[in-house]
Formats: sequence, structure tokens, C-alpha cells
Amino acid sequence: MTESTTKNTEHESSVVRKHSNTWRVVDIVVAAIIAVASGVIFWGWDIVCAAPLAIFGAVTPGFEGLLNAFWLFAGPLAAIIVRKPGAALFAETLAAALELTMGNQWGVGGSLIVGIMQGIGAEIGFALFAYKGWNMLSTAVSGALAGVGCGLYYWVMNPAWGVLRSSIYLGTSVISGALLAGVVMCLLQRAIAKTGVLDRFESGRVQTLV
Amino acid sequence: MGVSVQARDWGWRHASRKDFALRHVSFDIEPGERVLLLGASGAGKSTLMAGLAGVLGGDDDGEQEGHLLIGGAEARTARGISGLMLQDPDAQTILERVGDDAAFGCENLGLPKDEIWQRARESLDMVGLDYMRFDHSTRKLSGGQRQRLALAGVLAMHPGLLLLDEPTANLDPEGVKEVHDAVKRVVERTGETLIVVEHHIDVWLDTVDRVIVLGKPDGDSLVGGVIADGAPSKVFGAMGDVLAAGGAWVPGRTITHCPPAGQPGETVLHADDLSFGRGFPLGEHVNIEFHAGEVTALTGRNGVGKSTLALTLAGLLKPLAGHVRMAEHLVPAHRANDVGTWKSRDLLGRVGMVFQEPEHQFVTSSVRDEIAVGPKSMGKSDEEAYRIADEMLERVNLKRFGPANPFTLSGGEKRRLSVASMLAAAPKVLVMDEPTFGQDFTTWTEMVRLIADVRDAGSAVIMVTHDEALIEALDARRIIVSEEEQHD
Amino acid sequence: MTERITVVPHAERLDVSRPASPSWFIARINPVSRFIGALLLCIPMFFTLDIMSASVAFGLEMVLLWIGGIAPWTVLRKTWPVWIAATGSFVSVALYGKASGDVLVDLGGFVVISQGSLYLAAATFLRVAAIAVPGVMLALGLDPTDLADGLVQILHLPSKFVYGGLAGLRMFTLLQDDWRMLGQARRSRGLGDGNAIRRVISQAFNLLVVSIRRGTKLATAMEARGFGSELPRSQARESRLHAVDWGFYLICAAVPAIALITAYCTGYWHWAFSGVSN
Ligand SMILES: Nc1ncnc2c1ncn2[C@@H]1O[C@H](COP(=O)(O)OP(=O)(O)OP(=O)(O)O)[C@@H](O)[C@H]1O
Ligand SMILES: Nc1ncnc2c1ncn2[C@@H]1O[C@H](COP(=O)(O)OP(=O)(O)OP(=O)(O)O)[C@@H](O)[C@H]1O
Ligand SMILES: [Mg+2]
Ligand SMILES: [Mg+2]
Repeated sequence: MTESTTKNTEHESSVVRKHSNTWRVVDIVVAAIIAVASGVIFWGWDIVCAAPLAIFGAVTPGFEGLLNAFWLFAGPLAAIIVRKPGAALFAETLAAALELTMGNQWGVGGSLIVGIMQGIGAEIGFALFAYKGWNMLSTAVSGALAGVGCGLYYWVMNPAWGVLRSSIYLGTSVISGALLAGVVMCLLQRAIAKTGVLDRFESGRVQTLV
Repeated sequence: MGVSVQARDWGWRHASRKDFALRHVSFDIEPGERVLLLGASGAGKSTLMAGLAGVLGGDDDGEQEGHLLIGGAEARTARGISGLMLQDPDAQTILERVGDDAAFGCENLGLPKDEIWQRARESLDMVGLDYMRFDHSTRKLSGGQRQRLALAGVLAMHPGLLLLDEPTANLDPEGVKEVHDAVKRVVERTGETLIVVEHHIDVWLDTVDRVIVLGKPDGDSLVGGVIADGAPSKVFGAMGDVLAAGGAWVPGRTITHCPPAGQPGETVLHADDLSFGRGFPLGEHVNIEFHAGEVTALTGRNGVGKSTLALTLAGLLKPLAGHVRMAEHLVPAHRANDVGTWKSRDLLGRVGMVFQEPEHQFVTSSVRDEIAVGPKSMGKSDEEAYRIADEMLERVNLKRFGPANPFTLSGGEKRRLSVASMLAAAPKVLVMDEPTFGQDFTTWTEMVRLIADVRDAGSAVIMVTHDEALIEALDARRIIVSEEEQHD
Repeated sequence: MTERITVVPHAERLDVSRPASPSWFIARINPVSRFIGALLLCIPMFFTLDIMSASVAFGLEMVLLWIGGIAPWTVLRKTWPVWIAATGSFVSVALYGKASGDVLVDLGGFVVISQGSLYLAAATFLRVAAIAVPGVMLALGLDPTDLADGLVQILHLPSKFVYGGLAGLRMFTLLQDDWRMLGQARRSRGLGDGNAIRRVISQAFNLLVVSIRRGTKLATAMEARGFGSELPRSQARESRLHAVDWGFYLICAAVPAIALITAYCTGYWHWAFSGVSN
């Protein structure tokens, strides 16, 4: 009996496990940690970008949306790592709240409210796949929809903008969201999984056993 | 009140491992019994403790065999009945303030507010943190203080099953006594069931009424599994030799003595009017010298500042004033003789540091790479670096974990890896913070030999330690770090 | 004779605790109120885009903060990113905002600076300041543990998520320490030199990995103390709303109300979304 079980587990775990959608404590904590790390980057980007964004926004009609991805990635990244419904919204909101508490130029509206809208966008991305697709495509869709959330917010917020400018802004947000918040985050998740720290998660399980 | 514990042919395989950490474990523990759990480093003690506390996780985390029952219910569903103090003190500080952290467990049990605070204060006093204010930041704690805090948090819960995983590994001798007394008092008063894991058996002999020994981890037939179970006198009497061979610190063992061959050589490192501390000077105007071929032990109470001093000596923490200097001929070309200002590459091969928390030191994702990093950065070829790595792994008994992730090792295995990876760079000065905690007798003896080898090869070894046996085995020079007499 | 190194006794070690806010008043109100207050202050301001409401609100806020114990120059110093951003939005709206009135500069119909767009730019500048400054000042020094207590006890959010999130949030206070520690580890392993940018990126990745690692262990430690079980959780720290919180809400509601009414009555009101003046 010992023989056969050892054989079974020789190289890769042969037990096929069902995906569970209930949150464990570790899911919450890790999603929060990703939110924290992202929040710090959001905030750093607030500062780094204050000048470029202004210049970009000033000399091009709406292309500064391309810079938005750095505020969009928390949701898709957390979701692709912990793989639970709500992870994207949770992480993006928390990250935005943290960005806000650290103090930035946008206050509650431009950090928290927009964060929630981005989070909802990112969440819809995974919901479209019924929380079953956890791959590059779903992450990219999620990132793109986070970009939509962001673009919509600024559209509403900037009544002074013309239609052309708003549309370009929306479009560029979506593109940058899909690329950086989607594709790049999916790659990042794979790199993290390689280090082995995700061994308590489904996302970190595809490894040869030691 | 205590609860009963039953293991029925229980086993666990971590998700990233192909072998079971332990298997076919069976025992029955009565309510109120006090059990000492023994076994070599890597035998699966911590895994069993986590299983009993119901925190091993579910199918995502590994594969379970058989049953673990706490008071008749599956351990996984019995969370809150048991309180576990984990082996790694660093990962257990949960909240930002000391008082809140000690109160956390009680909150989870749904106790009334006044009782929570009363228990929190009581348990902090019991573990020797009576000088600590409730609003002290948990960020600014030394390794030993963290361990005490974690213990306080668990003791305050008065769980039916008290699980302590090496509760005294980082404590000073006085702290060991304090913790022992505190635990003893608590279990005698409340009748809680106690399971404690500790390599140094002597501490708990007068408290426990039963010893359970887990088998050696390698050697297939013995994977996990209980190899001895019974009253201490019976187990040690009947099985003394087997246990000794298996690496247990059986009472009354003679330790290997490795005195230095000759007199200490030249001074290789010295502190020159040094002030050290983190933002605020702990010690000032320190002048000490460390010699080639000599082992120096820094001892002193928890939280006095040994680790801070060690980091400063290793050139990793900027001195607040003064300098740490090396012998002139060891100073790299075009650099001032001040270790703190050197480049990282200059430190390599000159000064090495083994951190108190092994995990703080890991920079790669495999055990083998971890050791090879040093030799590689020193310009050795990959082949040569891995040859050194394999040799080292063999000596510290980690060979089978070569491709494993350093973070997934057991507590004692991590410690050995962190020491081995620093030794591989063969520094002229080796600073080690608690190099031997969490080791069983066999691995401990091997560590002593390793340190002796480094010393005899002409390096200066500085070790922060609470391990008296280690100091004696190496005939180390002793420096006591102590608080000034308080003037009023 | 054994050698000895003496250090400062524990009782004499410096241990400064951080105040909950630079303002004595804000420090006394519940952390949850701080968030609600910030929302109250900012949301009504979105309805109009004009110079009057923004400057009245901003002026009132500065005066109130001063009364609350933070001098205007301290406010300006602590909110410096706001001013960069406000300038940015000024330029952006000036160049691309809806044109009206006299056209001052016209670069091929793409960039049109008009009197109207300059006016909107100035209004946007002031509004960004009026919205962001109090938000930043209210958030300064906020204690996450107290906030979590408030979220559970006042807003009745599920405690598993709040405290799980809090444990993750605590990594934030540890980031600096962890960063330093990683730096030390890499330095002692000979990996501390070389291209600064590459080093920072690889250390940042390491930091993320270490934090996740820490988080998984922290989750275990929390569960080991009974967290996440079926038992109802009690609260060791009480978080309640006091009279001072209600007073604070009143102030937070009054500021935009006064600002908007002033704008309406003086004829400056300018519907933000439809662009219609009253
Ligand atoms: N999270 C994990 N993932 C994979 N393997 C693990 C994990 N934790 C422990 N192991 C492995 O399981 C085995 C048992 O580890 P455990 O920590 O239970 O040992 P231990 O008896 O407590 O040893 P020590 O005395 O050194 O602490 C070891 O071989 C270890 O490498
Ligand atoms: N990261 C830190 N930041 C600020 N203060 C710290 C930090 N780590 C420790 N301290 C404080 O510095 C003092 C010395 O700590 P240190 O870690 O050097 O003690 P130690 O002698 O090594 O104790 P132990 O035997 O418990 O490891 C302690 O009072 C501690 O509270
Ligand atoms: Mg262990
Ligand atoms: Mg220490």
C-alpha cells in the first residue's frame, strides 16, 4: 500500500482538486499584501507622474491614459494569485485606500472612488469567465475593464473635456490596462509562483515535487 | 479544562513534496496530560503540531492520511480549542501594538473585554515582558522578545490544548526559566493538555509526564511514525541508545569538545570607539578586538542589543559613531579601513553574517543555489560553486533538499542552510547570530565541528548565543553584553 | 575575567509614539469618521465647477485646519504633491478644455486656449486643491488597527475580512524594515552592487515575495490563535462614535454647503456635467 501511494505522488501531484471559491484566511491576507504593495506603487506613481502626466496631458489630447496602467494592476494581480471571487475588487479598493492615506493629489475621489470603479471593472473581467478562467486572456480582459472603469470616472469628472479627448483617454486607458495590468501581471504571477512562495495556492502548484 | 487528543494512523504530505513528512502516527493523549514531543530536526514535529492546531490547511496545502482528533472532533474543525505557538517567532506578531497582539487570541474566543485585558497583562508579566507597555510597537522587538510575546498571546487564551513549538529556542537562560515556570503554573492551575516540542529536554523533564518520539526523517521505513512513547524515565531508560543514535538530546549526554589548537592569532577585526544602535545609541565607546583562530561568544539578556551589535560589526548597520576596522592587509585596495563604507563585493570573503532569522537571509529560490551564491559572486565557476554547495549540503544533512525552496524547510533545516551558505563564502570574519538554535544533537555536533573548522582555518568567529554547551564545546572567549546599572 | 559591554538600560531607551494626527482635533475623532468626513467634504464639490465654490471651500478648510492646530504653511508642506497635480490639471484644461469666449491661442484647432478654458482651468486648479487637501490632512497618521476596529464595530463589516486585511496592511508598516533587511542580506551575500536600477527592481521583486511569504505564515499564526473559526469574535478595543464625531460630520457637511450656496447665490454656479450655468 505504501508502495503504490508513493508511486502516485512521485512527480506531480496526481490528485485533481476542485477549485473552491470560499476565502481562506491566507487568501485574505495575501490579497491584502498585494494591495499594500500595489498601493505603495500607486502612490509612488502619483508622485513620479505628477509632472509627466501634466506634460503628457498638456501636449497630447488624452494620451496620458497610457500611464494609467500603474493604477490598474492591483485587482488583476491579486485575483490571478488568490483566485477567489471578489479578490480584484477587494485588492484594488484597499490599494486605493492606502494610496489615499499616504496622501496624494487626488483625495478621496481620484484615489478611492476611482479605485472602486477600477476594481469593479477588473472584477467583471474574471466574472465574465465565471471565475473559471485564470489565464493570460482573462487577466488581460480584467485589466482592460479596469481601464474602462478608470476612463469612465475621468470622463464624468472632467466635464470640461471635449468628446474627442475623453474617448482617446478611455481608449488609451484600456490599452494600457490590458497590456500592463493584464499581460504583464500574468507574467509576474508566474515569476512569483516560480519562487515557491505560492505553494499554499492553486496558482503556485504547478511545480515538480521535491 | 484539558481535552483529549488522538492520532489514528495519521500522515501528511506537503503539497510541494513527494514524500510524506510523517506517516502512520498513532497515539492517545488523555485530557490534562503533559507531553514532550521529540524527534530529529526535520522529523515532522512542527507539521504534527500544525496538524493538531488545525492550521495545516486543506487539500490546497497537502495530502492527509488517517485522522487527528481533538476532543473527539477532527482537528481541522476544532480551531479555537487549541492554541499553537509556532516555531518561528518572527512570523507571529500579528498586530501593531504589543497589548493588542497579546489580546488577539482572546478576542477570537469571544471573551468579554475586561477579562481580555486582564489576561493580556497577566500573560505578558508571566513571560517576562512586564516592563513592556501595551502600546509599545511590535516592530521594535528583538528575536527573544518576539518569542515571549507570541507565547504570551497563546497562554492568554487558556486553550484546552496548549501546543508549544520550541518555545525557548531564542531565549536567554533566565527567560527559559521564566517561560518554563509560567507554562508549568498555567497547566497546573488550569489542567490544560500540553504538548511541547523542544530539543533541549532537560528544561521540561520536571513538567511532563510523557514523552513521544518521532522517527528519523530519512530512511524510508522510519518516515515519521512514533518510535517511542511512555513515561520519561521509561523511554530514556529503555531507549536511550536508540534515541541518542536518532539525534535526541538525551539527558546526561557528553558533548563533543573542540578546543582551539593554539593561541589566537593577529587581530583581524576591531571596534574603534564604536557607538551602535538603531537611531538611538545602545552602547557607546566600545573598543573590542577579535582575533584570527578564535571564537568569541556574545551573550546577554534578550533585547540588550546583541543582534544590533553583530550587524554593526558585520558592516551591515551603519555605526552611529566610531568605526569597525579590519587588519590593514585585509582592507580592499582603494578603500578606507571602515567596514561600514565598503561595497557589497568587498565584504564577501572578508566579513560574513548569519542572521538571527534565517529567512531574512535567503536570496534565491532553491537550497542548492542559496549556498552557491557566495562562491559565484566571488568569481568561482558555476561548476566549482555547485561542487562546494553539494559538499556543504552533505555536511549539514540537507542533500536531499537541493532543489527545494529554502522557505519550505523545517526550522532547524533553515538554520543549517543559513549557516552553511555563509560558510561557503569562507569569510575571514564570520559573525553568527544564534547559530545553533533548533538543532538536534547530531546536527548540533556537526555544526560545532563546522564552526571549529572555520576557526582552525584561521578565521575569527563572533557568535551571539544563549547556548552554554556551544560556548563550552568551542572553549570560546566570552563577552557579556549587559545593561548599565540604573542610576536614580 | 570576562569582558563586558554595557548598554543603555531598557527603561531609558527612547521610544517615541507617533501621534494619531498632527491636529489635536482630528486625533480625537474616530478613524472611520475621518473617512466619512472626507467623503462628505468632497462629494458635493463634484457638482459644480466654478471658482467661487472651490475657493470658498478651500479657504474655509484652511481656517478650520488652523483652528484644529495645523498652521497653513504646515498644510502646504505636507500636501506638496497636490500642488503639482493641481498645476497639471490647470495646464491640461487650459489647453484642451471646452473653448468659449475669446480665443487666445489656436494651434491648428487641436490646442485652443480660450478665455473660457482658462477660467475652467483656474476653477479646476482650485477644486483639486479643495478636494484633495482635507483628504490628505485627515488621512495623515491614521492608525490601521483603530480603523479596522471602527470598520467592524461601526460599519459592521465582516471581521474576518477586516482583520485579515489589517494583518496584510501591517506589512505596510514593515515594508521599510523589510526593505532595509533585504538590503542587508543582499549586501552580505555580495549581491549589493551593480546597476542601481536592476538592483532596485530585483530587490523590489524580492520584497514582494518576502511579503507574500510572511503573509502566508501570518495567516497560519492567526489561525493558530483561533482566528477564522466559527466562534463569534469579541472586541478588546471599543470603537464608538462620540459627540465630537457628530460635530465633525456637521462641520464636514457645512463646508461644501456654504461653498455651494455662495456659488449659487453669487451666480457663479456652473453645472459640472452639463456645463450649464444657473
Ligand atoms: N511548507 C512546507 N512545504 C514543504 N515541505 C515542508 C514544509 N514545511 C516543512 N516541510 C518539510 O517537512 C519535513 C518536516 O518538517 P517539520 O518542520 O515538521 O520538522 P521538525 O521536526 O519540526 O524539524 P525542526 O526540529 O528542524 O524544526 C521537513 O523535511 C521539511 O523540509
Ligand atoms: N528593527 C528594529 N527597529 C527598532 N528597534 C529595534 C529593532 N529590532 C530591535 N530593536 C530594539 O533594539 C534593542 C536591541 O535589540 P536586539 O535585536 O539587538 O537584541 P538582542 O540582544 O539581539 O536580543 P535577543 O537575544 O532577544 O535576540 C531592543 O530593545 C529592541 O526593542
Ligand atoms: Mg520544527
Ligand atoms: Mg538578537
